[in-house]
Amino acid sequence: MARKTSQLGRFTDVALLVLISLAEGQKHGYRMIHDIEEFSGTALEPGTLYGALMRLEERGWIEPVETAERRKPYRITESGRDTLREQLATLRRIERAGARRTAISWGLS
Amino acid sequence: MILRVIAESVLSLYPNAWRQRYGEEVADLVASRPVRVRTVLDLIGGAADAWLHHRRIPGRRPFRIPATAALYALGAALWVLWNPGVRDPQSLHRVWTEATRMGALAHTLEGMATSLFVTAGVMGALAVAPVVLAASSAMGSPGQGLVARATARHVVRTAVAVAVPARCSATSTTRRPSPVPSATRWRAASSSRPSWRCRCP
Repeated sequence: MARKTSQLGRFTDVALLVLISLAEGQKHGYRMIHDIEEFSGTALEPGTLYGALMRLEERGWIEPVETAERRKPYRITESGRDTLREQLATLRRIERAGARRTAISWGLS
Repeated sequence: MILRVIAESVLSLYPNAWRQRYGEEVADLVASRPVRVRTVLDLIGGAADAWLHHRRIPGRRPFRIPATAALYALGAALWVLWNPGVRDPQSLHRVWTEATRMGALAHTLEGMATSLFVTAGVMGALAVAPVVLAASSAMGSPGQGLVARATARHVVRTAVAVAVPARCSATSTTRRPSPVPSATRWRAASSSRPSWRCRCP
C-alpha cells in the first residue's frame, strides 16, 4: 500500500480523504469539499482537490459518472476500494503501534 | 469580488487538456464558494502542478507546439537574424573578429552565435516554405477572389525577397572596402544613404 500511494507525493493524504468521501457514494467536487471538511476538519481548496482527483482518475481508483449536469460526480472503483482498504489497514497498524508505545512511555513515567 | 475574478482568470493558466477535462467543474466550484487569497494561491500552485504533470491528465493528447506560433517565431528568426546577416556577411565576420580580440568569452560567444545563426537560417527557410506553398496554391486556384490572389502574389514576392538575398549579397560582397571604421560608418548609415548599400533594382 505504501508503495502504491507513495507515488502520489504531497497528494497522498488528500487522495485518502477523497477515497473515504467517495466510499459512501458518488459525489461532485463541491459536495466532496464539504464532506471532507465535515468528517476530517480539513478545508480543501479547488486546486488541491482537482490535483488529487487527476491522480486518482489516472490510476483508475475513481471514475467520472456520465451526467448532463454541469457538476460532474465521481465514484470510487473496485480498485480504488481495495486501495482504500489497504491504506486503512496500514493506518490501523500505525495507530496500534502508536497507542502501544504511548502506553509504555506513560507506564514508565 | 476582485479575488473571484483573479481566481477565474488563473484557470486560464492551466494546460488546455486540463481545462477541457476539469475547467468547467473548477469554475463552478470557484463561483459557488467563498474565494480567499489562499484559494488563488492554491489555484496557481495547481496550475504549476498540472503543467509539471501534464502526462497525468486523463484524455490528454500528445504535446505539440502550435504550428502558427512556430511559423511566427521562425519567420521572425529569419527576418531578424538570417536575412540581414546573409546580406552583409563580411560585416558580421568583422564584428566577431574585433570582439574575439577582447577575450576568450567573445570567442565562445562567436561559436554560439554561429550555431544560432545557422539554426535560425534553417528554421527561417522552413517557416517560409509552407507560406509560399499556401500562397502558390491560392494564386493558381480560380475559386479564389481577386484580392486573395493579389495578396498571395505579394506574399510570394515578399517571401522570395526575404529568403533569397543572393543578388544583394553578391552585390555587397563585390563592393570596395571602405577605409572608414565600422562604428563611424554605422553612424553615417543611420543618418544618410550609405555608399555600400545594395543596388538591386
